[in-house]
Amino acid sequence: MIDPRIEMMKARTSRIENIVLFVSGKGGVGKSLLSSAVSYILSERGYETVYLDLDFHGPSGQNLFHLDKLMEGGKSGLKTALSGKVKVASIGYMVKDNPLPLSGVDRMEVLLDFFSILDFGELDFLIVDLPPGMGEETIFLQRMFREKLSAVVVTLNSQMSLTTVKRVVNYLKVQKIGIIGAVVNMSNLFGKYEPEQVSRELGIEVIGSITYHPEVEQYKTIKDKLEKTPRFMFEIERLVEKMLGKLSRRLT
Amino acid sequence: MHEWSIAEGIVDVLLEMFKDKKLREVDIKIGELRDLDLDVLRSALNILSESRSLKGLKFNLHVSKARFKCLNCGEEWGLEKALEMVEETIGAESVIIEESGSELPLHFIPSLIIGLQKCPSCGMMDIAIDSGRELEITRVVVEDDRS
Repeated sequence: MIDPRIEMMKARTSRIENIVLFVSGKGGVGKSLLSSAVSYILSERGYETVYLDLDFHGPSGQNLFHLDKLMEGGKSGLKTALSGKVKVASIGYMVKDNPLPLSGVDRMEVLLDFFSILDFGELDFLIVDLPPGMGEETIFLQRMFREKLSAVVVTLNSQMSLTTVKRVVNYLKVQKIGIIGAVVNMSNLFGKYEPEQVSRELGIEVIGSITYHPEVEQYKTIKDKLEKTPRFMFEIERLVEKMLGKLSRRLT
Repeated sequence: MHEWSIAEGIVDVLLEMFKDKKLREVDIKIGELRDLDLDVLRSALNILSESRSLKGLKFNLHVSKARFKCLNCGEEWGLEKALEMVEETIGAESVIIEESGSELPLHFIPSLIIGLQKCPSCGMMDIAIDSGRELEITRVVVEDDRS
């Protein structure tokens, strides 16, 4: 049995420059918020960016991005949705609020179909919002696209979060996936260690600290969250600067 | 209407795997859930293979019927019942995503149907797709070149 989707996938992703994974060992640390915010800022700066929500069990992309244009089928495959300048792909648009209990095999099937049919076009960044841990999504991506991957590790500054995140960091290192750095989210709520200690604990550089701003919660879309909370916007801008600096150093 | 990109994938993988061989026949199994237009797919395969050094290659397309099974009570059902449930779950209007007409998202990602139906007998969501989402090259006949 030969699966033609692998070749389809190669063709579709051949013009993607960087695939950046937002990973963590724990749920609820803010991967979706930070990855969507970074996607928004990168797009605003003129980088061709797709925000891809791969959290099949709890997709949030469809809530974070107000859509100007839906995901649409066409001759060249499934086109990403459009929210302002950001291109967005999430199965949340397709299954709405219905639960999607996928077993391991089914999840691999969804991934193969998604990547072989999504029309990414030419991209500077494919930002991937991953579910917590090292499940099928992470395994699939490192199998298929290892040389294009790099990762941003999201953590809280708490012992429980750091212990599980460390496990993910080790995995990324073993699999030779470039780590851009760690981002400490909700840094004002949890304060177990100083930033240097977090770095030491995880064995990677901390490239950003994001404060929990309660007012961010008032707004639904990532655009409003950023634009109506300038302090949050400033922190994400600074994180994007760091990421771009690290990536250009890694790529040259 | 993504038959062309699927045809391209099939031709690409054949060229990649059978570089120096002359191919005679290829069997392809296509799940019913993919809702592909077989005439369009066949012409796309013929045109692409003609233009890309696979001249004269015959494509046999086989459709595999969709079968679902409840892992809780053992109930089995097919496409018609499944699509009724999908429409009830997400509404007929929200399944239209293609400019050219009505297309289910399932057309692109068949496995999503798991989240859009419940067992018609016991009402549980523990459903396996036994068949109907395949996109596989199942047999390749290579020309005997000992002449």
